[in-house]
Amino acid sequence: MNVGLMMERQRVPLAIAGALAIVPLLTRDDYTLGVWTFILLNVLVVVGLDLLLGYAGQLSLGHGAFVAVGAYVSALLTTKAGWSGWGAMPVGMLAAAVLAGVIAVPTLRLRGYYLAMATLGFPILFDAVIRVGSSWSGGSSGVTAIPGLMVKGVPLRDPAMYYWLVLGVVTIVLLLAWNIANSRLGLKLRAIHADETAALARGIPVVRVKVMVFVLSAAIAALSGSLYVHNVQFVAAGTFGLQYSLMLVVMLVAGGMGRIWGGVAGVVVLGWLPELLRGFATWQPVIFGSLLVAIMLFSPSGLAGLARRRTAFLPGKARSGMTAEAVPVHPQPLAGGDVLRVSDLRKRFGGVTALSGLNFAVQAGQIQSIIGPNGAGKSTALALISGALLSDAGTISINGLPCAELTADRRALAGLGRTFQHARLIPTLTVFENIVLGASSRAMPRLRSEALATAVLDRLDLRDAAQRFPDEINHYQRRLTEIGIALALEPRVLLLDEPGAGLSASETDVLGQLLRELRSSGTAIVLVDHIMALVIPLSDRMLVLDGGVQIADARPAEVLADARVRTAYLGQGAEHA
Amino acid sequence: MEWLVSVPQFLAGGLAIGAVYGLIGAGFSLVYNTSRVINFAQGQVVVYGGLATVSLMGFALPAVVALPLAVAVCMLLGAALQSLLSLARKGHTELTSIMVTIGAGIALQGLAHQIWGTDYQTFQLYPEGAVRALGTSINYATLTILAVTLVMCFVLWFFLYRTLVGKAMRACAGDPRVAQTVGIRPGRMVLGAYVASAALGGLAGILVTPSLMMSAEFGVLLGIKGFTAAIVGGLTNPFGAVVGGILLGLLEGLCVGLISSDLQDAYAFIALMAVLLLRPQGLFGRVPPGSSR
Repeated sequence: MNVGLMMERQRVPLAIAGALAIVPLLTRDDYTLGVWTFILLNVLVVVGLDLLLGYAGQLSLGHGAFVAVGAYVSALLTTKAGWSGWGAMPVGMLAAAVLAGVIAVPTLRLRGYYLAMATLGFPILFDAVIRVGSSWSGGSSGVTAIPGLMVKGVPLRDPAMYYWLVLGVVTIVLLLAWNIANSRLGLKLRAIHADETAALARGIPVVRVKVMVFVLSAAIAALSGSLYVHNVQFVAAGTFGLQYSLMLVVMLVAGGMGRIWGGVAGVVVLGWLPELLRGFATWQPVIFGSLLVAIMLFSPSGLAGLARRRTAFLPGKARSGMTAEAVPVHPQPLAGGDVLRVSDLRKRFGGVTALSGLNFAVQAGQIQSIIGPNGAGKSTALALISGALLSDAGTISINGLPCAELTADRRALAGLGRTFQHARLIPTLTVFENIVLGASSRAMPRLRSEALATAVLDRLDLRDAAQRFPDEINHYQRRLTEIGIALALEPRVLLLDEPGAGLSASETDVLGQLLRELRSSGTAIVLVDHIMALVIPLSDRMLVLDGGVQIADARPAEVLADARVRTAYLGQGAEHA
Repeated sequence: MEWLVSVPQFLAGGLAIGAVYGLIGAGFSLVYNTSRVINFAQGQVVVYGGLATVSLMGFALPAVVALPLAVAVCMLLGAALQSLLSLARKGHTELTSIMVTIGAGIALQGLAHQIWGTDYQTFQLYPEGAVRALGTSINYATLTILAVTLVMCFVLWFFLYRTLVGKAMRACAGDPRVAQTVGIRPGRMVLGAYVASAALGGLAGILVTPSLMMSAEFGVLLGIKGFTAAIVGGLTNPFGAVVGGILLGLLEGLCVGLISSDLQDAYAFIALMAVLLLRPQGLFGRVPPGSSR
């Protein structure tokens, strides 16, 4: 690969590393170098924390405990078991990763801030274990005389050399974090942060991704802890206490969450604060706490908010075999058969029956519409089919795959694309990134998913909006973007929840034409809408729901002639109207 | 089987602290219901309730004056915290609110250090002595704490189900937008929830200080345990939180008696993880909407 281009892509992490490399050139003072080494170690932890908190939106208040895990594993394996520091380091990372996994599984399965409370409790547990096991852990008097890292048979003691070593590790972690942040995984993390339901509908395995990023950030924290003890040669219970953990969060927030250089800036700026405030050491919690409050209230994007984020995803030319007309490109066209089959689907909410027995099947190249008055159960039906809700009874199969028990992301991967009644674009991603996100949960190279997203963009005539954020485009464009995201999944079946709502007559016509083209390319479509001018001419079959009961499923002409349907829509005596 | 005989005494030992966890947890529940925010500063309010009483009693104020004053201090703290949160920019997320409560919690803890130092403090409130029943002795302190908790549950129930403000608050918890259309101001209700939650937290601090002492350090731990109580009971149900707290207290008493007191603070954490794993909606809560779906 072209070295110049590679450097260009990695310029941010390399520039940060370059800036940090100036320090040992400016000072030979051991104390100053020691402080800066500690700042670098905090950079490591905060960059990992940023992936978790800034990108994925999951709050850990006890990251210091993972630093402590790395520190203690290194300290104990080297002093008690005679291991080398280099050997202990990966073991510490592994231990932190395993512990993080144990905490993550119960808490990250759920939505909300359970992880925050659990990570607040974990350091207390860890501290209790260290104090109880003082015979091997040293308790509060700690582990002393921890050997240094051996280089060519000599322990690395020179502060400048140690700084260079840590800077090397920081550079590697910065490159790793930068490339995650600017990859499709980075888009997924931002999507989970903004809207888990939408993320699942895009086929993203939300829980697995959250657990993974937490485990990764814990392992990075442990690496920092290990590098710390081999430098300082001492660790005790409480070295990385609650105060330290919270300071990490404050530094990240001050620098700017969700931006790699933001976290680094926060550590460098605030890392010196404890030094400067040494006279007021006891006031530190008050100062740090107030700082966190003030930043969250008045400048939640921190220092990084000063510059607009630059996207790593740019629409290019649509590539080989991927012209706009060919989207979606089904791997193998289905011959006949039901793409979506729903039988006897039922749902109750407490005492209210929302849906009692929904039955229909859609073939490739067919449009099945679902109509009914407000409260008839249409949105419930879509939620059950897409997996946003679980049905009480009934079966759903997508492409012959039984799906009633699967989570929404698995159904999306099985070939089901959906849009929401109120467009749920990820507000922190550009239009193009939103569409790339739609393609990103499927196994394909990045270039291919970008090409696919570009083709979708062209097909929907959204190129002008590609680099804008969802709050910078109009309603029609947001609607189209939602359909584009679903198309990027190359769905076999597309569920559209009131796509025509709020569109002008001419926009509705364009939408109708688009749906016709999708149908002729072999996509099965389930269309829920109130706009009969859109629904009736498009539908191959129309299903009518009233009060959760399916009262008709037939060709539009037959449905419109049905007396029960007329009653449901127009009230008693409508037959005579 | 000698240890079996001690089980009732171990359980009795956990009863009082459990009720305290329950009151703290009910506060978490009130705030969560109206604003979907977990108030990480709740534990600090408990500390302020206890330590403010110590100071007020130190001025030779009688308990009947000092205790309500200390609760009032906590209610002011709750109101101040909510006013702070209402300064957040339009369109802020729950994460923003939660981070603000975390920051406020750190600052409050630091401030408590400055005001009261790091020593453990206490004051006299409960009469000496104990009641013996079924081979177990339950001291008057425990009985008083349980009685106050019971009374508070009734007051809370009366407030939520029999007063207009309480009903409005519940409506707001159900759906703030619909509540708004009938003239309820969600902002006011959230403020009310913070104040009520702080009152419960402050009272919990007052109740626990005479029997187990208080220090600025305890805030985080009391917060986690109160939160665990709320999760056990079901985060959306304040009365469930009280039951959850008592269960947690009993569990702690039992584990301290049978296993070890060194790990006392770890049991709640393990209980929290177990409940989240096995029954995340708790005993009396609604299923968390969209969990893992």
